Amino acid sequence: MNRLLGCILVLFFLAAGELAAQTVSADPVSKLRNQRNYAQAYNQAIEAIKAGDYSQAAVFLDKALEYSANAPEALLQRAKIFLAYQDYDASLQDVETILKNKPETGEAWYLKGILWMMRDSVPQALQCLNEAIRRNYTTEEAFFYRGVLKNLQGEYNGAIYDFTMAIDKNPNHAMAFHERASVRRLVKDLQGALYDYRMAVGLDSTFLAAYNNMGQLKMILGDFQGAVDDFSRTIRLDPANNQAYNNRGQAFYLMGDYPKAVEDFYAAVVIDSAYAAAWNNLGNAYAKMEKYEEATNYYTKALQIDSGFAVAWLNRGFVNELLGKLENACSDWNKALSLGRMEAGKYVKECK
Amino acid sequence: MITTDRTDIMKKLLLLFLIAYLVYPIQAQSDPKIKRNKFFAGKEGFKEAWKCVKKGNEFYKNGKGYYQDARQSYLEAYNYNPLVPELNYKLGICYLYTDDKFQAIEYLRSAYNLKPGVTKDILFYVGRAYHQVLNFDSAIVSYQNYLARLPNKEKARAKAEIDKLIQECYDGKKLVQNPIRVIISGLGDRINSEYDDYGPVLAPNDSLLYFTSRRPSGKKAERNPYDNKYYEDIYVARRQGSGWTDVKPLGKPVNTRHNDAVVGMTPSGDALFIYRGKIGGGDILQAWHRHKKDKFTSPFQVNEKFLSKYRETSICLSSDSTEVYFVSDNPSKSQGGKDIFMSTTRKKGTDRWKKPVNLGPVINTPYDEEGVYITPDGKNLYFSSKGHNTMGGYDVFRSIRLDDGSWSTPENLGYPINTPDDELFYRPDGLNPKYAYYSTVREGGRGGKDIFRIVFLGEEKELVLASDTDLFAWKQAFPPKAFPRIPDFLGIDSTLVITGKVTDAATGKGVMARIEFIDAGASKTAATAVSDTSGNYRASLPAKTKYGVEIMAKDYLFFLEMVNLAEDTSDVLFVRNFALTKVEVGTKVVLRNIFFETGKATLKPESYAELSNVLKFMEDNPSIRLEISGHTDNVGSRRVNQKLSEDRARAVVDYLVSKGIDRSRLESKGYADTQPVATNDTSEGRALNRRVEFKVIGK
Repeated sequence: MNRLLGCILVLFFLAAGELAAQTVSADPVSKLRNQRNYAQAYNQAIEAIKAGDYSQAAVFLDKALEYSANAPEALLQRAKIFLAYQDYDASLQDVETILKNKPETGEAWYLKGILWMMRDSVPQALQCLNEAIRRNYTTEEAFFYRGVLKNLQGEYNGAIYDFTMAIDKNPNHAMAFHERASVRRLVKDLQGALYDYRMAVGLDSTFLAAYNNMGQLKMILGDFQGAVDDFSRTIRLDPANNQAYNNRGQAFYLMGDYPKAVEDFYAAVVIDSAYAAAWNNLGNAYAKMEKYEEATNYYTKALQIDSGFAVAWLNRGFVNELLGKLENACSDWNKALSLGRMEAGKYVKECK
Repeated sequence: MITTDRTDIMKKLLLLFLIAYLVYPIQAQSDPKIKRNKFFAGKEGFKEAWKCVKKGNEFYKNGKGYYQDARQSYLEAYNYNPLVPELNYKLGICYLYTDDKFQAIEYLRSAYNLKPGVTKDILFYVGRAYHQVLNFDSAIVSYQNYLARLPNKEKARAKAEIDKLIQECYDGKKLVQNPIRVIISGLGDRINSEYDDYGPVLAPNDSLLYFTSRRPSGKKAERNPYDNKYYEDIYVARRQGSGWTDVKPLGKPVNTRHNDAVVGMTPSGDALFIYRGKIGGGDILQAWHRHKKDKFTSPFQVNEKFLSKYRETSICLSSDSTEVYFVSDNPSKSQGGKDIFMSTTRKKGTDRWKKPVNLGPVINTPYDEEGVYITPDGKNLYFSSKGHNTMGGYDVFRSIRLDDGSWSTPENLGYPINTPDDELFYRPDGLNPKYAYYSTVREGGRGGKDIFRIVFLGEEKELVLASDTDLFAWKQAFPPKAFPRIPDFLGIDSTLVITGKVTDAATGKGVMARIEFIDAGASKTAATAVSDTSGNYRASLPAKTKYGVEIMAKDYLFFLEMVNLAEDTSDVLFVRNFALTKVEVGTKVVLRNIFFETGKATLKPESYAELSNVLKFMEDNPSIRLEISGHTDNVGSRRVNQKLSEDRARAVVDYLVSKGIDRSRLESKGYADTQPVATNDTSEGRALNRRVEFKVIGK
């Protein structure tokens, strides 16, 4: 009896399966064959991606999508290839198709967020990355870029949390350490920032920005020699890095070693003669050495390069004052004030 | 003429007497004798050196006005022998009272070190020299030591002056510790000369600068025998841009053979005030400017109320000409020395002035005041004083007129405007209050007194460094990698569809049966299907591989066959038909998968799967009776093979009985090699002949 019942049940399920298969496709064998072809094309695309041959991968994905037009995996990979080729519109089109049919696809939300980021639409991008993470796309890059977006939105604590999550996902994420360091610097957690910069350069000994920023942080912390060392490391890694020369010059300047500061500021402008900040700093170093006429010339040089360089106007005003040229000083401070250097306001008041 | 009452005069005379007594007149410098034998007679250059000493001595004894010349001679002697204490002393004194006073300390200290008792006053002048170079602590020590070593009688007389100097040092320390932010620069070579230049007076629109100079005004210029300097003359310069040009003496009738110094100007700029000194006194004169001829009239005395038989040295009118401030050493109502007096007009616009009054002890001190100036708004009074908290000589002070008309406590304009030397004739710039002019002796001057411009700087400002702070580096990681990790491959669904028909082998009719596909590699059921009444079946198989197909159907012998799909060219769909044999008495089935240990009748475990099929067949067909038969090949003796075949058949029966089959439904037979199904000449044939069969013997 049991056996009979078992047979009946088996027959029932087989019949039901057949019926269900007939609902989807009149020809289950064709369906199966399609699925198989789709998967084969998709896997070929992945092989091509693995080999870095994105154009070939795109061909395979197109083929895969011929077998299964809205297949989310293929659409997602093709959207990424479009992203790689900077065809953001096409990429977004594929992503939107995925989300229309399968809105729970976290990675599609992530990709959409990145595409919004490419368009500088920070709030929309942030919203998409929030969705991605809510839908369990909790990869290091999702947290990292959400951290970036939160930072851009001024949500510093949220950014620190996300960079921390990215680091949890990938403890070798030098960039996440660097970005967390910089946000910590903004929220005045200077020691925390220093730790993170150190981690960043420890993980990536060629990380120029990390050396530069760590040097600048050390200057803030008063560790000028440490800053000099960091900038020197940057210069060794990239001898044409004018910013590093300018920064090291500042460290020497703050140590009171004006001749060395001058050497570095000169190097910075030799590398880039249009580097207004270095011309300005050269002026400062000369002013500190009481060579006011030379200092004025360097500020003027900076202002010829960038007439909107408020700091140079301000400084030239200081030096003009020290030269006893109060009218010129006042004129410079007025200009600096008009360019947004609010502290120039009190100096302008002194002119009256 | 200023008049005073008798009582006042008496009081002032008493005060002056006290000051004169208290302030020990340490003015005349010692004249220590430089001994000839200090110059190593006979050594080369001796004659010239000694000659210089003697020449220097001649100048030295004539007083300060000749110290410049004395210094030149002494320096030549000094080159011959720098170790003569007396010579060092005199050189120090010469430096102290000429332009390069800052070098005096070197010589005076040497003099003291070489011979502490070189003169009685050496420590006093060492103190003065330290004082001049702002080394206040050393100056204080020197002054104190000087005083301590004086005989008691002299000490008592000198104490007031030394205390004053020490106080100046203390005040100087405070002032130097809190310097004010100014730039002080000379007015240039056209205004300043190697001679004394001082007393800047700016015309109301600042286009002209009048000043006094003691430069020679021509070939016939004469020197004042009192100080060996050329007589004062008034000069005028015209502003050109930020400098001054067209500098020339005013000439007659303003300038005369003797001293003529400019001390002020009327607010309208129509007249100059001129000081002309004379022995025992000096007065202020006034000269009108004739615009048409651009000349001044002959100077004439100002209102007699401002003059006395004493010395009036500077004057300033308020901008509305209702007040006049002037300096006089008239002892009447004096606080001591030169004081500042003030008078107001009885009626505005007239030259009728009230009796001048001393500005009182807030402004005036027992010491000299000089160079008074009231700003055009009438609120600030600038003057120089040797009193108050001067750091030495005349310092410039400012007092503010308070709401009740009184004057605030004068405020020292501070270092570096003021120094231990004399700062005099301070004049704020009329057009820009950030500038002012005054005269003093400063390091880097042209010589003697010079006129300087003061630029008042605002609060100290910190230069701003500029850096490019790329605080965030994420753009280096942007756009993000399209493939931060390689996507997973899709698992390919390799499902196969197998379909076909199960039929009766004899009639070809469809048979309803249960079909099991067993993965031969994994030895597990991969799929199960049931054929319908027409015998049609369909099943999904996971892979294109080898399957064992077992089919069970009622009244049919169970079916077992290997299907190798791997050898099929189809990709998805496979068609396989199976024919079943109906159970009939006499039907034989070879059980191919029954294995025994070699030469024995012991079943191997791998036989159980096949035996379970037999078991199931018997269970499904309970009326069936079977004969289980054993067969061998022809290898070995018949007797042995007979026994082995019987034993093996019995072992199978025993197994089935052990699994619950009634023994009455089973018979065991051994046929040795009597019923071969293949040749015994080949190993393959012999393998087929070694078998167990069952035969249906009842149903």
